[in-house]
Amino acid sequence: MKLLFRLFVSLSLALVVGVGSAWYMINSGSALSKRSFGPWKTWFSAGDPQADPYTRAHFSRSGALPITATSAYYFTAKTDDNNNKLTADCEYLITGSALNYPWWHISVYDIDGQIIANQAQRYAYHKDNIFFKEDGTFDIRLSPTARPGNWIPTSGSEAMQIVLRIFHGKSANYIDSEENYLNLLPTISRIDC
Amino acid sequence: MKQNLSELLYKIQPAKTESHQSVRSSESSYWYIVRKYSSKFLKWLAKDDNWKWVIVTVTLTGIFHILTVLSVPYSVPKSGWARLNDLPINQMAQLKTFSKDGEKTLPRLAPDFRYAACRYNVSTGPLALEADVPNNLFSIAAYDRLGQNFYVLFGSALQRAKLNVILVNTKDLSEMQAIVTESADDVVLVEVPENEGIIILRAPILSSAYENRVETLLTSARCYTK
Repeated sequence: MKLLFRLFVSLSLALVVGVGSAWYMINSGSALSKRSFGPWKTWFSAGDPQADPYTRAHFSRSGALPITATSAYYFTAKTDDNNNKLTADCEYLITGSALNYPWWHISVYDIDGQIIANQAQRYAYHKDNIFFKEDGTFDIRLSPTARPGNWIPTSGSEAMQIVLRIFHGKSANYIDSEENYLNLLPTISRIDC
Repeated sequence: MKQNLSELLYKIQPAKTESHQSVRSSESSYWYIVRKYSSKFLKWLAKDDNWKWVIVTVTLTGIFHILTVLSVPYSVPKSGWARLNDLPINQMAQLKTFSKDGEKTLPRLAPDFRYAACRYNVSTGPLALEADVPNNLFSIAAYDRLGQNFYVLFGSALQRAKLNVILVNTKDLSEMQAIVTESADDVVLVEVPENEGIIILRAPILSSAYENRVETLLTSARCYTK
């Protein structure tokens, strides 16, 4: 009886910890599969046939079909620079500089990865339609109410995420250090909530 | 094993001397707690062969962890492959970028791109894909059933206004290579790792003036078995 009890406890504990830890690493990633730069996260082997099992499981589960890092980078932010969750009823300011790549854009999604509908039909900004300031930087406001300049409307109060896509086309500007990442990626600050 | 554990317990137990209280007060509370519970844990390990159960539990935890991670790509109901399950085989279809009336599309499709997808099966023969290339950022990407991107080609690398691709499995590759060489057409031959997979065409809308043109060109893209 004691043996059965011990076996049951051992199996239960192993199941909970084993499956729980696997689920956590698939959903949230770890140093083995994901890199973080402030609020921006990137799965550096996304879509790669040689990807680690956690990355493969993550993207299988999400349903997304990204292009591999040999041609494109994907950065996702679900929090602002102060680690507060992004929600559609708050106002945010994304500030960055022009990126020296063939193509890049910033778009906003709900937490399931679907585009947030809005009457203004504004969903993203890319390198050719974004309005730059005189110093070469840009500001994009995310807000439920209209804002001048670069503005992406949001609606509702649910959590949302910002995706920065960079198609580098194997250019020479390959990101090779953490410092370069931090200089490259825009800041996200909460203005009002 | 029990003797070694007992020796270890003796070494880490706090010394019972008159200065014991002063020694303990001078240590950080953190290390005191670590030492206290370490000794209790080691005593527990030594009792009734508990250490064997710890090893069994840790081993089982690892096995469950690995099995979970490896099985997820094959069992998720909403993988990219599953979401495109209702697309016809070996035919091009336009993908909806926007979710209307709760209809789900692939997640994180870029709102300033237009997409077309071809679910392919080359078990009965090669698949041909033809599309007009609207700009240098147009791309064709091929994925296996697990969503791994094994091939991608951008318009900038293609340097042509029209894309002609033939997908072929390993069995038919050499025969197809001979045919393509003889015909001298500008055909891109792609060997697929498995018979089934997905092709995604991505066409960016560089400005609103080009939106209709891009949509028209993408609508005319087709894939078919040869």
